[in-house]
Amino acid sequence: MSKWPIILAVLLVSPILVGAQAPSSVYGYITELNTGDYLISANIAFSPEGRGTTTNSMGYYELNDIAPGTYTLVSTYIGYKRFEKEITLLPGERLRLDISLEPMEYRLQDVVVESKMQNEVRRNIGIAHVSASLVNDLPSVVQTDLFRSLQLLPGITSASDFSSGLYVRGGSPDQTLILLDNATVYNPSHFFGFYSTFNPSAIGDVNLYKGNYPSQFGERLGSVISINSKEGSQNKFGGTVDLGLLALGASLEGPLGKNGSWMLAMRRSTLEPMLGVLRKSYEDIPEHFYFTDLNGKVSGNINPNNKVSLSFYSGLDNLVFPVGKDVGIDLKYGNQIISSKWRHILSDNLFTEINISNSRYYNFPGVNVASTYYERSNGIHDVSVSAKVEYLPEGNHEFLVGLWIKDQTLSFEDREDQYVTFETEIRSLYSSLYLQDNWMLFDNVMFSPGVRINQIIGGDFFRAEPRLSFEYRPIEPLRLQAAYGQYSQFMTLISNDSFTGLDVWLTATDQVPPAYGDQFALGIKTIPRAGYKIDAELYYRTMSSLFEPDPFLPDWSGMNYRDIFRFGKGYAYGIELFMERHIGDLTGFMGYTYSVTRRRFPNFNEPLARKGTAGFYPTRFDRSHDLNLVMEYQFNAQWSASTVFSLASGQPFTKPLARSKTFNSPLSATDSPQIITGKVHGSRLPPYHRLDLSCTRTGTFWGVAVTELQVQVINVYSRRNIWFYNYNLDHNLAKRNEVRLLPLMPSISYSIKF
Amino acid sequence: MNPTASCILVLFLVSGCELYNQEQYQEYYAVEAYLIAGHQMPSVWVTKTTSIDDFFYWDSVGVSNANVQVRLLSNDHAVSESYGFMHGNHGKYYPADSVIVKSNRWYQLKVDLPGGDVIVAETFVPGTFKTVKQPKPAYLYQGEVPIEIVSTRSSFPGRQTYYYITVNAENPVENKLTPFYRDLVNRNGEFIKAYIKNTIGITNEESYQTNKDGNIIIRVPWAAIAFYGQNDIVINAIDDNIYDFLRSQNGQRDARLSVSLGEIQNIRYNVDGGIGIFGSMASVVSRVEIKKP
Repeated sequence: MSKWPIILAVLLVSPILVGAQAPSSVYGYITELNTGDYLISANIAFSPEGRGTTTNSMGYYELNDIAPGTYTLVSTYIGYKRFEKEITLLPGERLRLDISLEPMEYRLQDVVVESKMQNEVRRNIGIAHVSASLVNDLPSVVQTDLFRSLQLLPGITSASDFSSGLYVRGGSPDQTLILLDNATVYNPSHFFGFYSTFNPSAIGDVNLYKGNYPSQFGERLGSVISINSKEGSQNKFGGTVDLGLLALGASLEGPLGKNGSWMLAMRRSTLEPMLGVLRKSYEDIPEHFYFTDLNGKVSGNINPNNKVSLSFYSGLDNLVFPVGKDVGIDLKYGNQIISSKWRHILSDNLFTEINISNSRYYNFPGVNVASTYYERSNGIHDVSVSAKVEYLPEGNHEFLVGLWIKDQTLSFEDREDQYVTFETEIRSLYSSLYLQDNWMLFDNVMFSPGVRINQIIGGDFFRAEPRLSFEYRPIEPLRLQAAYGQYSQFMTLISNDSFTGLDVWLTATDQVPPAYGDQFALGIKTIPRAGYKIDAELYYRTMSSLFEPDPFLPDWSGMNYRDIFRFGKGYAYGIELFMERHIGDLTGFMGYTYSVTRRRFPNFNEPLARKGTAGFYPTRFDRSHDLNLVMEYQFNAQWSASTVFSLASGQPFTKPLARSKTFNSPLSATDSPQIITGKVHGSRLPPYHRLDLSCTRTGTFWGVAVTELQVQVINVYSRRNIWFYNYNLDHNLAKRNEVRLLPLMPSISYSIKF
Repeated sequence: MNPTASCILVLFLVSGCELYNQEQYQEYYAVEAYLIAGHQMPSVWVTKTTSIDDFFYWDSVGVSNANVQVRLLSNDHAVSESYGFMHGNHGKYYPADSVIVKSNRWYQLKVDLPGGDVIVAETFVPGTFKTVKQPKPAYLYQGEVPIEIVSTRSSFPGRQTYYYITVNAENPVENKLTPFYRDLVNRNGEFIKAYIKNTIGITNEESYQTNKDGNIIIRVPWAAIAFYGQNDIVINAIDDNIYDFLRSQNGQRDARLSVSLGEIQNIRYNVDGGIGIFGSMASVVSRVEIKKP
């Protein structure tokens, strides 16, 4: 017998034999050592050849098609110590290797540890990022505040020095969805908007989508801020104490069992002792004026494939204020949230996350004028259930499918002397299904199509909203980006840019259609040299069917719900430039925005001589130019300083041009002035500018804790920017008074971390 | 010039242009007249506006040589009757004849001005109503017994009745001010005169209770009482023109939840060719004494 058939058979079978030995693979999760929280976009690679990948949104990684052998596996993540481990892969083996990265305790002066992928995700179109350390280090008015730090980013403006409200890319604050652990926060402010409700000690990470947010989010026309509560340490008991001029805060954290942790944080304002002293000398000082925040979270790994967490938040503002003789204000408002999350690994490339949350907002203002009681009650109570599945098939796709259902009850009631003058209770059941694919078409081309399908169950509203983004990298590190999306919004907010304590939410119904709009964006981003970034984004957005209560309705009694609204439209466009240096002792960024924001409502802003021709007008928060320069310098391990300089166009206001009077009214004993104004917001206040400084010293507290003393000076050269004008027509010649913003303000804070 | 510099230059040129400019002052003619159902035809004021930067003298803004007419219209808005007016002084025009205003009818104001300008405004006079249960003669201020007046319903086509209730003090002197208003006068420097005809603003008919006869029970809140002593409570059912005028005029003075501080918006004038108010109302009056506790 010829030996050739045997040789041929061996040759034919040999690939099968070889195939049976290869390939091997390694997979697992990368988590934070102390908290056990998954790290997103962490790097993992084989050394020295460099083949690697990054973790997905659930901290999962997978490296396939690896020849059997012994390798050194390296994982890095910004702010964490490098992880290295030698592994041996047997033929066909699928090795699970979960990695816990340890945070760096000391600032490294010369070594920059960066997760490239993480940085790149943070520079996707429409996304902005502020690090937690930046929030703490920047000078801020009296107390550290997350939202005031976000206001420094291009595309985001503030209403005034007194407001922490976010006006993102031409959107009013209600157009930004604010999520805390996936639960909606309806009023994110304390002290009438002076501060946000988010205690920095209880915040984990913050993701801000200024526009063109992906299909997994909905509910708002403009933008999304998703905040995750901080997870407690799985290894040791610890805590913080924060002493500020306005509030006192404390937090505790520690391990829970073998694989779990807990965190509890509280904050309370400390104005009351000062008010007590003032009451002895002055009248009309509030009897009560305080806010409280209580955050908590427990989380743990049931097993390697299941992680659960439960978090809660409760915040309250309480004001009891005898404004004058026989008149007093009583105001309570706040949010309560409880949210649970279950992350489950179905298989190596299939992940699920189920979230159930409950959010409540309440607002009970009351005024007593000469024994006449005017009371209002506004509340929202919602229960949300969401589930998402992430599928990572072999190839260049990352699929995300999700379902979201919200059962929301909104109530509103006005009372006068115990009599109900207007009331409504609206229950809405919203549902959304969303699909998203991140498709790497080529090595340098990424296409991310998505769609979100919204429906009000029981209503007529049904809407499919496409969300698309595209990125092309002609050369490294240049990134060219484009995005388009449709968005809708079911809720509207009656608020005031000067004080938010009386905020009232109302919702769309079958009679009141939701608002909707389109967003377009173009971006160009590059890294001119190591440690520097330059980003530019151009945006244009439309807003249709905007609904808001007619501000001139004196009484809603007996009116149909639809009739209290006016319906309008708007648009906004702008260009944002962002330059950042994040290397060396001197770090910081410069953000510049040129923007245009317009609205139009019927019977508003129409020339007196041409009724029915209402024109578009700039919003109060329209700022043509907005420049922020942020710098931080690390002198040594103990001392650092930071500065913020802001320069912006003056805010628009409506200028009175003429006056007249009614002389003969049977309804009044006095002549009543009539003011004839020019175009709505057709004039501008003088330009706004301000310089703030902060100096921080880090030390130890008897060797058992790390301390931080921060001294700040707000408005260093005491520029008295104008807040608004008041016109006094009691005189023959109208008198214009300037009401000004903050003068120079020093402040000091002290924190202890153990 | 390189492309980057060009882009920056274009950006600054574009952004330097203000895309939305404010108007300049323009003079308007203003009219003022209030028709009350069942009352004599009122006088009409014709004036001019003044620039906000100039002094305002009431006796110099009157327009003296206008031709003023008020016309009673039929349901199809044709002119049924026409009433002439004569100029008195400072822009005040008096009716030439004694005419009683009719309820549930349309009236038109037409003013021909010297330069050829014409002002036209129309009002529908609300239906008259009457008091079916008078309030008590006297009340203890902030006592347990509230001031209530039961009245028949007024009428207005296409909507519920809007009321503007005033409390007119007979003897408005400082020592008769109720505590809340005394505080406003003493501490805030408000003028007593502002409270002689005091009000809590516009209220809708549906904000009041209805009794079994279909009449409405109008509560007068203590906050509306500025003076102790004799007061006339005047319940006015107002037309659309007064409603629009007052609600927007109040917005110029008072803070509103959704309007920025210091922000002033134009009054809603239902007047063609100028500004002002040509409104109407139906009214009833009740007298009460408010006793100091």
